Amino acid sequence: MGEAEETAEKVGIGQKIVFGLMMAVAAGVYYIVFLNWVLMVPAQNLPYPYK
Amino acid sequence: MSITRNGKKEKIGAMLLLSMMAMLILLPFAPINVSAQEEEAAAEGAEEATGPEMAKDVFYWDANGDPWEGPVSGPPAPELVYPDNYGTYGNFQSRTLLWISNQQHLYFGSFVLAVPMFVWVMELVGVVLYRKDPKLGKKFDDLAHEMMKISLTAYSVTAILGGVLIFTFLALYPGFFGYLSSIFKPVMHIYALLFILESGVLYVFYYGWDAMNDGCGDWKYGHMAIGTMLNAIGIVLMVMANTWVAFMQSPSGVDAQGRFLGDIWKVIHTPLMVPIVIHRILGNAAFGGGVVAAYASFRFLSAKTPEEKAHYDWMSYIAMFMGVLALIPLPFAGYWLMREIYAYRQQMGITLMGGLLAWVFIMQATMIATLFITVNYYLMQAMGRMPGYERYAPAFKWILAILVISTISWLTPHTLVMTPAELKAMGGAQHPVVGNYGVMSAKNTAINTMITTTVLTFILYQRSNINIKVPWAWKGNLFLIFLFVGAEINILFLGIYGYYIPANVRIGLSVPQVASTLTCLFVGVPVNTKMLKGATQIAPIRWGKMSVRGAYALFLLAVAFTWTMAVMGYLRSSVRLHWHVNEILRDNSPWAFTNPLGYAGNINSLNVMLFWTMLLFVFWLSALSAKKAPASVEEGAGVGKAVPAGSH
Repeated sequence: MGEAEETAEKVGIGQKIVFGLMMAVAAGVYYIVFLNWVLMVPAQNLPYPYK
Repeated sequence: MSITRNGKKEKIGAMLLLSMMAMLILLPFAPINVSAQEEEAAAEGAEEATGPEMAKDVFYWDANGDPWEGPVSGPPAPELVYPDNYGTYGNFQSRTLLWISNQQHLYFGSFVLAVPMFVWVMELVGVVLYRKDPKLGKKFDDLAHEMMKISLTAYSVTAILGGVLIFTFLALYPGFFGYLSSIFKPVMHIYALLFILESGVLYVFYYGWDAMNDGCGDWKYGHMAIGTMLNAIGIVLMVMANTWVAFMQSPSGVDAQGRFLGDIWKVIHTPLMVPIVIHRILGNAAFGGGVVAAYASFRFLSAKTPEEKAHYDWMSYIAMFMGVLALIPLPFAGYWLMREIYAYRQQMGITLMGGLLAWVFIMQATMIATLFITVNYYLMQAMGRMPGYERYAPAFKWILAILVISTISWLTPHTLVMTPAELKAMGGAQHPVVGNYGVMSAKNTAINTMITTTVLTFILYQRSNINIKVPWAWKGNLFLIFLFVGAEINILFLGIYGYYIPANVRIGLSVPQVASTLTCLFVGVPVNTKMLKGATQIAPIRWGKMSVRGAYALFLLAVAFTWTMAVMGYLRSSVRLHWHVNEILRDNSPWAFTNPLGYAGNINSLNVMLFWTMLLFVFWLSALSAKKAPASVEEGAGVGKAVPAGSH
């Protein structure tokens, strides 16, 4: 328990920013590219983005 | 254990009973070859060597794209004449009388079919937990047993109301009822037999509870098998009843004159049958959860001892949780149903959502918004019994703000009912600003936001009294933040994007929107649960310390479920307009018009009040029998004993 708390304290702000950026990119890819595109174009045969 | 007190004899007896029930459940399906009989009758009717008369199905198509042809196997739909084919009772509108008896039967029917589903889950949870913690396992088992007790009383009421409904049909709508019975004749007997079987299995399940309770042994699994059977029969019964309403709305398996074409499956499997069934199963489960939560809330408020209060507080939470679990996918199932309605008859969809009945959807939106706000409010109140919730309390006002903004958007009508002067002043039926929020792009965004927010509240609830200890907690938190923020940005983006593209593409946007919401639910909640592994509690949950207003919120939740069911049932039924069976059997009674909104609202409210009055009687009966139970709380993993309802 104490060990875990210690580990948590060791995480620096830089590490958090890097991980946060990774997550932001991952979320962008997942939602914008994967969900939106896959569920519109191959799944429903609808144009996305609409031109 | 205690169950083995009489050893083999009981085991053999129970096994025989189980085998008998297993055979009975197969009985309706096995020996009667109805289609053969029908074909025979059709062949005889068509006379001599020319063979049976063939006719085209109104819906089904063959492989070549031509209408499917089947042998004419029944009489055409009659042309009903008033007053010959309609009955009246005093000066009452026959339709309203039938409406009320239908709705009451449906309420109780839904309740008694939903509760065994919960009971099944609770019993399973009890068995699984029993291995590690017999006391906790028994607690869930007692809960399941108590839920079943409420259902048992309600079951009798359901049967009585079913009888009332049949008599109402026979007395007031004999022509229509005769036609529908002739179409569904091949399966009517199955319904009746299953109903008898359901009663038998229900009583064995309930009364065998204590006798078969050996914790997590073979007997318990045997009991769960009976529960599985009970649910299977219940679902089949419900599906069968749903096929009748689905047939009325979107008939198939008959020709344009309404003659049965010999294939009962085509009559059952109508274009709207599957989405209606799915929507109703989920709806029943949500409604059942709401009613049980209200029952527990009622017992919580009237409890005399802290133990009782704690038990019913816990029970109301579990029931609410189960109900919400079904509530969350419900809008999506509803959306699917609407899509299928549009695909079946576009005009029907427009009548529902953009025409005559569109305002009923505004009523529904009010109720759905009430449901989600109430759930969130309840969870926030419930956090009050969890020390440590103060950390998350500042978020409540923002969550509520998001819910209120979403609700306002969700309720905004596309067009308003106005006087000509008002219409002129505004420059059209659509308001230049507010009107923009009356379209599906805004409404889909609103409901998805509300669901996502509810998931977030639940995650906060899970964490309320917990100090997370996993080393990767910071990663988990960041992941959850981006998961939710990303989902909400995507939901908003798709909502706005929908304004700039044609309707046929816009409708497709709802799929990724829903997927974003579901991602939060199916990824966010498991990740959060994983994070809680090995966590320490700031203090245990103080069951029984629920605020009174939180308990009342559950009443609101249950009544909102009931009212939503009434209003949406009315909507689905009214969309047939002047048809008993859409485009097949015309309603020639004086009550074939569409009700004004006010009248429909009043009858729905009357139905809700009637149901709750009867339900209070059921609750009271359950509480009465609980009083007779021994007051002592049995500690430890007592098995094979009657469980006092007020203990755990």
